[in-house]
Amino acid sequence: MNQLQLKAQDNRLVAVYCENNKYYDVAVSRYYYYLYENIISYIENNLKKDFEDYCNNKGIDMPKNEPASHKILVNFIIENFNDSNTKIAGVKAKLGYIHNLRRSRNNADYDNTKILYLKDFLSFFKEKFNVVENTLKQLNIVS
Amino acid sequence: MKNNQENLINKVISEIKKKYYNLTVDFYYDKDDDFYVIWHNDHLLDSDDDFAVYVSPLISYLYDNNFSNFCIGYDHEQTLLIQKKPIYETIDEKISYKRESFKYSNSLAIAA
Repeated sequence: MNQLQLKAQDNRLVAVYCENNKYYDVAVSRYYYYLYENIISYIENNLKKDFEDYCNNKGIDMPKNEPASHKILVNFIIENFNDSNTKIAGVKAKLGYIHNLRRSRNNADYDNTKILYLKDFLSFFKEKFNVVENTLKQLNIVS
Repeated sequence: MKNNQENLINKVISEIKKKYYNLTVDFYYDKDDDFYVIWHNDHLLDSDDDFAVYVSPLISYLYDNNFSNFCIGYDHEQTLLIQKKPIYETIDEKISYKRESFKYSNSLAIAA
């Protein structure tokens, strides 16, 4: 396990703590980064060349040593996997929820709103998170 | 460009409605995020494999048309809005999003 995966694991531990203690917005943020750091690590270790080719084909000019935007990385993951190369039914729709989670994370970090109740946390974030986490585990992106 | 993207979204929504005809499906554009949110009002569909299988080719269709700034899923806030629940009801039901009441308190402050 590399350092980024270890940080991802730390984020998940903090997320669970926050969820259990009703710090739901912080939980949203940490759960999201747990997934995102695992995705970065997976691409870096397994799909680096594919990702460079993807950016070149799309005309995406990324400065060297600068982290790719969340949207680009997530779109790459969604476009890279399909039902036939993963044997996961509806994989694109399931991975597509990462964009919903990204937007929830933006709201959780910056919006002048606060998630106060478990019911809302589940509806706004956690149900989609569970689908994405399971899918990424099946793809060995999350261990 | 924007019209073209919205035409593509409307085609996708029509396809979803062909199978899920009782479902409310709509979209909005978030200018700050430069992102289209295609949303529906049934949270159970988020974890429904059949729905994911049905929607996945539609997602491919959008990507194949060089359109990638969108997401599809249940939207709790939009669902509450179409139910036209008064603010006091949403508070009673302990819905935590306070955006509308925040706007209301701001307008009161301005009026004062």
